[in-house]
Order: sequence, then structure tokens, then C-alpha cells
Amino acid sequence: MKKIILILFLCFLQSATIEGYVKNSKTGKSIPNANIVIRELDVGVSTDPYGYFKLDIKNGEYNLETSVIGFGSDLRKININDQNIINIDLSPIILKYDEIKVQGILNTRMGNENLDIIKYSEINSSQKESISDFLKNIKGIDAQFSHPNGRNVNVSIRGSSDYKPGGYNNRVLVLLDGIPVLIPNSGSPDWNSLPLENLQRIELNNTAASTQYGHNSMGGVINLITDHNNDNSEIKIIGGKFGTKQASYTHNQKYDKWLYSGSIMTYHSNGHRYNSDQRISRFQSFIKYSNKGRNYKLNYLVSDSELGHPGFDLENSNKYRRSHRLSQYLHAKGFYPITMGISMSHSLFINKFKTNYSNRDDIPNSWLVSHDLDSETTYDDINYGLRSELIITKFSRWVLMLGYDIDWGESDVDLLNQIYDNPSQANLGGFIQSKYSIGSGFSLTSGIRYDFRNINPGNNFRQRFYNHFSPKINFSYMNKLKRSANISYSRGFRAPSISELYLNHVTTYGLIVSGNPELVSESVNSYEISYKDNSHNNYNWDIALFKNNYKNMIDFIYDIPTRAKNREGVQGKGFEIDISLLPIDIVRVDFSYSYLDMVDLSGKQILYRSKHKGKIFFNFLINNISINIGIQGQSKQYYEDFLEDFDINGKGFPIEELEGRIIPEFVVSLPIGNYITSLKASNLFNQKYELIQNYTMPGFNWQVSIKKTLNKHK
Amino acid sequence: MKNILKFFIIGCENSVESDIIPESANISGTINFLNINNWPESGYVTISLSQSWPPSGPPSNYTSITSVNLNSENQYVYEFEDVVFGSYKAIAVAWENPDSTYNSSCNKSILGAFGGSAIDYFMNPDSLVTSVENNIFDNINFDADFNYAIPNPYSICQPPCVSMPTQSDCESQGHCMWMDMGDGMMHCMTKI
Repeated sequence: MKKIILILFLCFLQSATIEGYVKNSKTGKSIPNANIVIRELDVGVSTDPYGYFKLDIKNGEYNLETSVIGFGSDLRKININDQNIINIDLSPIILKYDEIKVQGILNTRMGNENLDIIKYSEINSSQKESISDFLKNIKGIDAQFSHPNGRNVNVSIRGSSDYKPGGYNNRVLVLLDGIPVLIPNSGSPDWNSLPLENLQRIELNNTAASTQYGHNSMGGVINLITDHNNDNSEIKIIGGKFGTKQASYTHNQKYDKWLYSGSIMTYHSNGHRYNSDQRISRFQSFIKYSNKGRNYKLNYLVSDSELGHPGFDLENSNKYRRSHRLSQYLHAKGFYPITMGISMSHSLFINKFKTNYSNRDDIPNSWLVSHDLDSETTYDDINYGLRSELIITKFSRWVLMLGYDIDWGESDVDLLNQIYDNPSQANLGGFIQSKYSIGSGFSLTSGIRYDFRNINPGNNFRQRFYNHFSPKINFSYMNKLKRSANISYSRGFRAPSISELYLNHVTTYGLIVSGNPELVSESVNSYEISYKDNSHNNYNWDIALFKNNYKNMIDFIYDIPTRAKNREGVQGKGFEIDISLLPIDIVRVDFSYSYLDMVDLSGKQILYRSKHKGKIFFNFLINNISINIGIQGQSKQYYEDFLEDFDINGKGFPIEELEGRIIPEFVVSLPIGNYITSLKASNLFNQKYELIQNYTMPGFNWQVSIKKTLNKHK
Repeated sequence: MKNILKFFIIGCENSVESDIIPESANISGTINFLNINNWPESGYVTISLSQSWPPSGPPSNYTSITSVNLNSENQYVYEFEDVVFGSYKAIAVAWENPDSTYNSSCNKSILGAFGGSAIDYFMNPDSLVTSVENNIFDNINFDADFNYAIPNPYSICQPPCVSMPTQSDCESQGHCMWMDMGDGMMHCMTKI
């Protein structure tokens, strides 16, 4: 007891106080809400409305950092003993856009403050086969596909959409380096064309983002970043089960202010069942010029994929189909300062997709006779777009962004009602975004966007016009100690896609599925409260609570007639938790869990949505050998079995259950000389499971990869 | 570029819908129900629009009715709206036998079909082809007779046993049996 008293007494003796004022060096006025942090101790305080601060710490020598938005930071060494008065003068500065991005003041063009950044290391260590396969395991995201390289993929954030063989209702906007890459007829991307091998990071906005991006982003945004400043070359070879072979080569070269990057990837696999013989080739190349705050970039990506068409695990399904798609993206971006504190950016894109479905060579004649199927169907889509943003950072506490975007797309699709002639769609949007720093780490972000959308079915049929205002408001708190809290409201909208309006298709199992030209646009009111705590040495955690109220949700409903309809009263709510533990230096444990409750007006569970989803991974790093072992699981989900007989007694198609699952996997990576080798094994216990009805996923699978960085240019 | 300009021009226009080209069809008519005293106590009566006939897979459109939906003249006025343009092989009325052990495509007795005849068990009804030019079909009227609402005989999947002229034809049908009905003659009858 005496010892404790002695220690407390000594501590008391050693403690000291620092106090003082923070002032504007030019005007002499006090600066409220400035952050004052002792770097060594990770403790801090904010100045009061008079610019005054007071901090109790132990005697010693420290680095004291003072910062506030709109002023240059002050870093000074201080020697603390007893009473210390320190007055700090800060110089006002004009913010630069780069600085804003680095400091995280604006996330992805002033998007949601609770943006999740998935780093290269996490993407690379997972050794997934495709981006959709990788996204499937991110909290809050669900992906449904026939197999990891399947053609038809639905990626949903917080239950925003689900797989519909009759059409798509993708509500998640997918961007490649900030530029949309959606196929116009469906609003979904060509997942096979997106370069997993080049991904540097993924930015995930999991609430309605229509204030920034308008139509198609009401379920959130996935921004795939391939842009980089690397100056090396890399070769990677993968081999594995089912005759899987993949090779990729990336070459990056800097010449003064120029950077050239080129990468090529080729993949072939026999697949795991009748969807065999998958071939994918991609080539991405960009050239970038950077000088005195100006950046210009030209990016070209081409992908050629040929896949077995995902048919059902049933004898009479159209599993004898193949598809071939050529996707091309030409993207140009420019960013330049106009004057101090005012910058401009422009982006221009052309995306072109040509898809062809045909019968496989090994199709049995009996099957061909019994199915009245066109031997060939084609989809031809093109999309042009332009976006400009004016960024004003000259005010010390206030950042503003104004802009517009325009895009136009056309679809020539055999499965659309042929009374129309190549439907086209055009969108014009204007927006203003603002972020005001209140002080003490608090900020208020708000914005509004107006969209006007026109869909023209051709052949003089009636055009459709949709318009919408999408506001958002976001109140957030962030401090130097890496804690942040956020409360937000945003409104999202989506006009019906061309498929949802004009589809007319008879499936091989006899169901007639059609679009509905009378659809109205859908919208969502999204609410979110989140908290992130990255302040601890041995653990970090975050939590987000959300609620999404949908209005006029567009859905392909398996009723008779089977056609797209507007649904009323769909509501989703839930929460997501992430915990990362570092009990000792060589071990990290990552745990995530998400809960989703999505119901319609009558309280019925919305189909194809699991309530519970989670994963736990143990990551070991021992003598440069990295071992990741983990499991990921998902609870049961319901689906409407439209392959069964339709019950006219009011019951419709029977509701069935996809069982829940827990799938274990591991990845081991070790350096051997200049090479990094990895072994990945997934579905270790060879479980039979499905992500969508009657599409069995691969069983036990393994892959080995070898990667070498060839040279580092100086 | 031409299309982009068109978008702006069109976007600024007042979207007056003066010359709206129809994008779907309407089919309507009156069904005259006969022998409604034989309306079965259970089972649904449906009016369906089918693109294939005999039907394979679900119909394109349907509506279910009960006897209370009939007017005082034992008629029912039906209407299919927003029908996608195309060729439709039949509009038919069927009774679904809830006690049938057959699957759902074989447990219906056809009571009548537009342009069809009981003589050939309504297997050759009249087709309708809807298009931009022919988008309204009214007066698609026909009779539906509840005398045919008996388990299985007039099912599209099981031809009526009484139509089997010979013993071999009769016995080739799993649901029929060749038997003496007491009149000294052999008949093909439905197995009970």
C-alpha cells in the first residue's frame, strides 16, 4: 500500500501542465477548435472558443503538433517541467486538393465519411479468382454468381439487390479509377473484365451515393483503383485444380514527369463442371503526366472472355450455351489548378461491350430439338460520358465542389422486345457538395444533385423521362487519435434500366419474362450511424448501424405475368462490426459480422438475403512466411423456385431455402529468393453449396502462385 | 453526337403524349358459362392466355374466378391488360382439380377455348397475334361448359377415355380401363 502511495506521490510530483493560446499569425485573432496533440503519448486536446488550451502530462521532452483546417500545422519540441505556457501562432494557408485527399477531409469526391478502404495487401493476400469473388467476403457486401468467373453476377451492398435470371436490378455503381463501367442495358458491370491483378485498393461507399453520382448508385459505390505511381515490373504465374492456368505481367516505367504502365493477363480453366473451358484475357495500359499539381491520364483496358454459360444443375437447363464478350474502356482524366485554392478536373469515358451467346459444340442433338432456342443472341452496348468538377479550397474551413456529368448509352440486345429499335438512354446531372469544418474535429458535409434522365426506345415509341433531386447531409467527428463518428442521411434514386423496361424473353424452361415500360424510378432514404476506433496499439474496431427505406423498388417478380414491377414498402436495416486484434507482433485476427433484416410491407423476408454473415481470419507472419487461415459463413436465404410449377392457388412459385454455410480456406505465402510463392486452398471440406438456385459452387479447390518483381527502376 | 443533340432537344420539349404508339395489347371478351350447376365445390377456375398450346410452362397471363364473379346471366367479362406483343395460341378456361394426383400441367380440365371445339378437346383453338397495329382485341367471346369439369377425362394431358375406340387404345392410357358397362357393350372408362 505504501508503495502505491509512493508511486502516486511521485507521479503527482512529475506531472505538469501546459497551457496557452493558439492564434492566427496574420490577424492575431484566436483560433478555436485547433487540435493539439502530444505525439509520443497520443493524447490531445482542442482549443476553446478563445483559442485557449490546457493539458496535463508528465514531465519530459515531447513533440507538440498543432493543426486546424485552413492553417499550416505547427510541430515543435517542448521540454515540460511543472508549469509551461506555450503560445502558438499558425499561418493561414490555402488548401490544395492533394492535401485534402491525404488528410481524409474529403473522401472520394466528398462521399460518405464512413468510407471503407480495402488495401492492396488485403486484396493480394486473399488470392481470389475474381473481383466479385473477393467482394463476396467484405462485410456488408453480398455477391451471387454461378462460379467465381461466372458471367452473370449480382453484387449487393446491405441487401440493395439480388440475383434475377429475368433481368438485373443492380443498384451498386462500380467505378474504375472513379469512372463508371456499367453495361448500359442492365446497369451491371462486366466483372470478368475488371483487372483484379492491377488493383491497388478498393474504396467502398456503402450508403446511397446519388448526391455524388446520381442514377445507379443508390445502393452504394465500389471504386476500383488501379492508378498508381509504381516504378517496377512484375510477373505472376498461377496454376491449380481444374487445369487452371493464369499468367500476368505488369511493366511500369517512369520518364521524368511521365509514367507508363502496361499489364497483360491471360487465364484458362476447365471449370469445375459443365461450365468448362473458361478463357479470359485482359490488357490494361495507361500513361500519366504529372507536373506542378497538374495530372493528366489516359487509360485503356480491353478484356476478351469466353465462358461456359452458367446453366442450372438440371437436365433440361441451357447448360450447353457459351458466351463471348469483348469489353473495351477508354478513359481520360485531367486535373489542374486554375488559381490558388481553385482547381478543375475533367474525365471522359467511352465503354463498349459486345456479347454473343451461342450453343456449345458438344450440344446433344436431342436437347437442341427439344429446346426452341435461338442459336445465337447478341448484346451490343456503348456508353459515352463526361464529368467536370470545380473544387474550391480557398476558404479556411470550407471546401466546395460544383460539377456536372453527362452520359449517353445505346443497347442493341436480342432479348429486348424487338418492336423497339436499339433503345438509348441519356443522363444529365448537376451537383454541389460542401464540407464545412466546425472545429474540434467536427464537420458538416452536405450536398444536392439534380438528375434528368431520358430513355428512348426507338422506332418512335414513347420516350421516358425521369428526374430526381438527391440530397445528403453528414455530420462527423474525427480526431487526431484516429477515432471518428458519423451520422448521415442520404437519398438515392435509380431510373429503370433498359432491361427492366423492354426485356421480352422466353426462358428455356418456358417462363415468359418481360420488362415493363410503365415502371417509375425507385428511390431510397438511407440513414447511417457509425463509429471507428483505430487508436489502440493492439486492437481496432468499428461499427455501423443503417436503415434503408425503399420506395417503388423495381423488381422482377415471379408472378404471372412475370415482369418487372415497382414494389412498395421494402425496408432494410442492420449493422456491421469489424474487429482487428493484434495480440502479439506475429499474429493478427480479423473478425467481421454483418446483420441484415430486409422485409416488405407485409413483414415478409425479402428473398436472396442472408440475415447473418461473418468471417474470422487468423493471420500469422513468422520469418517472412505469411499464413492466413479462416472461415466465412452466411446464414440461410430464401428464393422463389421458378423452375417448379406455378401454383395458381395464390401461392405462386414455391419458396425454397438455400442452406447456410461455413467455408474454411487458407493461404500460405513465403518468399523464396526473389520470388514470392503462395498456396491457396478453399472449401477445404469439399462442401456442396450454392449462392443461387441450382448453381453448385466449386468444391475443394487449390492454387499455387509465384510472383517476382523483376526490376526496380531508379 | 447526333443522338446527344437529340437528347437535349427532346429533353427541352414538353413531353406531350399526342401520338403515343401502343407498346402492349389489351385482350378482352365475355365468357358464357354453361351448366354452372356443375361448378365443382373445390378447385380453381382460371382463364389463361398461353403462347404455347397444349401449354408447356406457365401461361403468359391468367386470372382465377369463382362463381360469385359471374353476372346474372352466368357470364364473366375478362380483360388482359399490358399484354406483350406476340403470338398467343389460346385463350382458354380450365378447372383445376385439387384432388388430382397428376402434376399441375395435367390436372386441369379444359372447359372452353376461344375458337376451340369440344370435339377435338379444345386442342385447336384460334390464335391471336398482337402487334402495334392490332393491339386491341375485344369481343373475344366464347363458351365454357362445366359439364367438362370432371376429374381428368378432358385433361389436356389425359385424353378422355370415352374417346378411345378400341381396347388397345384404351388400355394404352394409364388412366383408362376397358370394361362392360352392363349394356352388353365394352366401353373405355376412366379409372376411379
